[in-house]
Amino acid sequence: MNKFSFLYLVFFYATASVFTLFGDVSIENQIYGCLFFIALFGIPHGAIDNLIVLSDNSISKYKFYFIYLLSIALYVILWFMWPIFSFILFLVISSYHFGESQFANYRIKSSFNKLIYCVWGTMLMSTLFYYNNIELNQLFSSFEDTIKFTEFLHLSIYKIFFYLSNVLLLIIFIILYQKKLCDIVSIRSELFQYALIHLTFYLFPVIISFTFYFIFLHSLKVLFQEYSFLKEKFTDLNFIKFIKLLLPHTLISLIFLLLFIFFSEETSINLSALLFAMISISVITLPHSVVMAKFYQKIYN
Amino acid sequence: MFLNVLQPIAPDNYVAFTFFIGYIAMLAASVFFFVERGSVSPKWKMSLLVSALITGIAAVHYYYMRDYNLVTGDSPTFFRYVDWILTVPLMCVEFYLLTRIAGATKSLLWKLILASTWMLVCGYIGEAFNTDGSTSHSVMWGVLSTLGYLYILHSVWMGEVANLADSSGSEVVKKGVRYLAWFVLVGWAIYPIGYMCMDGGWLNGIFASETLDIWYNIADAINKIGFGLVVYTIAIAETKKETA
Repeated sequence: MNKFSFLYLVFFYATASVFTLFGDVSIENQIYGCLFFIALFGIPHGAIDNLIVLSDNSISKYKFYFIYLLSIALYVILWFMWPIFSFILFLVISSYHFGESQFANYRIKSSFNKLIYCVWGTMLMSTLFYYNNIELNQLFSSFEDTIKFTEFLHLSIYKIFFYLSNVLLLIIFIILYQKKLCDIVSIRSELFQYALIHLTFYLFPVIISFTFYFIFLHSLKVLFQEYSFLKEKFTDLNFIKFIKLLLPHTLISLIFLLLFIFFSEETSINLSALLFAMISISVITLPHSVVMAKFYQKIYN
Repeated sequence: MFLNVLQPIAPDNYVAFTFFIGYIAMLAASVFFFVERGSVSPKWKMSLLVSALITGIAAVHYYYMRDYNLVTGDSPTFFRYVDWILTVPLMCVEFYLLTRIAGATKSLLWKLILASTWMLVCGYIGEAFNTDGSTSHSVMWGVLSTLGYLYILHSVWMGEVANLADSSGSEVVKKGVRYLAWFVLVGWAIYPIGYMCMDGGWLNGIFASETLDIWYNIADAINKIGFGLVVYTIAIAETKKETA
C-alpha cells in the first residue's frame, strides 16, 4: 500500500461514516463535495501540461498552445456533430490514459504494455458502468440533451467489456508475475487497488466512486510524478513554487467553469450541466493524454 | 470439556461449525507455537510465546463463544471484544519484537498498544452501548475507533514500524513485517466492515448476522494463526542464519 492508497482508505472510511450518518447524500451535495476535490487536485494535475512539454524546448510555446487549443476546438465541434461517437472516443482515450498512468512507473519491458494500459483502463470504466448502470441511466435521463446516451447503457456492451477486461487483467497480473516483468510487491499493490476500486464502485454512488479513483489513485499520483520531474529540471523548486506553477491554468479553468454556471443560469447557454461537464472534461482529456503519454515516455523510457 | 447444555447442532449450522473449528484451530496453533519455542534461538522465543498467547487466549474465548451462540443464538459481541482487547494489542507487541533488532523502542511499543486499545474500546462503546440503535452514537465511536486503526496501519506501512523493518538489515524481517502489514490492512478490515454491518450501520442488511459471525470466525482464525505463522517463519529463518 502506498501513500495514495492510504489516503484513499482514510477518505473511504470517512465517506462511509457520512453515508451512515445521513443515510444518503443528495446529488447536489455529492457534486459540491466532488467538485471541491476536483478543483483542488483534479484540475491542477493537468494544469502544467505546458511546462511538461516546454521543459525540453522541443517545441515552441506558440506551436504548443496552437496544437493544444486546436485539438480542443476540433473535439468540441465533433461533440456537436456526433455526440455518441465523441462520448465513446472519450471513454477510449480516458481508458488508455488512466491505464498508462497506473502502470507507466513500473517500466514494464514488453511490447504489450500498451495493451495492459488499455485493459486496465477498460476495467476501470466498465466496472464503473457495471455497478452504477441504474444510476447512470437516471443521470443521463435527467436532461434532454443527454438522454441519447442511455442508448449506450441499454446496449449492455459495457457488461461484455466488464467481464472481459476483469478476466484479462487478472491473467495479465499472472503473466507479469511469472515472466518477472513486474515485482511481486507492485503486483500485490495493484491487486489491492483493484479490490479497492471494485469495492468503492459497488458501494458508493457513481460521482463519488469516480472522484475517489480520479483524485487519490490518479491525480495525486500524477501531481507527485510531475513534481519529481520538474524538481530535476529546476532544482530550486519547492512545494510553494510548484503550487504557483499550477495556479494560472487552474484558475483559468475555474473561471471558465464559473462563467458557464453564470451564463447557464441566465439561460444564455442552452446546454445542461451534465453535457457541459462531459464535453469540457473530454476535450481537455484529449490533448492532456497526449502530453502525458510523452511525459511518461520521457521519464520512464 | 463439555457444553454446559448439550444442544442439537444442525449440519448446516455453519456458525457453530466455525466456532468449533476456530476453537480447536486456535488451541492447536497455541500448542504448536509453545512447543516450537524450543526450535528457535533465545532472542525469538518471546515472539513465539506472544503468538502462542494470542491463539491461546482466542481459543479460550472461542470455547465460551461457541457455547453462548449455541444456547442463545446471538452473536457473542461481548466475548469478541474481550478477546480482541487482549489479542490485538499482543499482535501489536509482535511488531515491536520483530523490529527490536533495528532499534525499536519501548515508546513504539506503547504507542501501538495504546492505539490498538483505543481502537477496541471505542469500537466496543459504539457497538455494545448502543441499545437504542442511534446512528450518531455508532458513527461517532466508529470514527474514533478508526483513528486508532489508521494510526497502526500508517505505522506498519509507511511509518515507524515500516522504516525500522527496512533498516533492520534482514530481508526476512523486512518481508515478514510486510506480510504482517497485509494482515492489518486486509485481515483486520473485517472488523470495521463488521461494525458497519450492525443495526443502524451503513452496510446493515448486506450480510445476515449469521453470515457475519461466520466471516468473523474465519477472519479471526486466519488473522491470529496466520499472524503467528509469519512470526514463526521469521524466527526459524533468522535462527537458521544465526546457527549457520
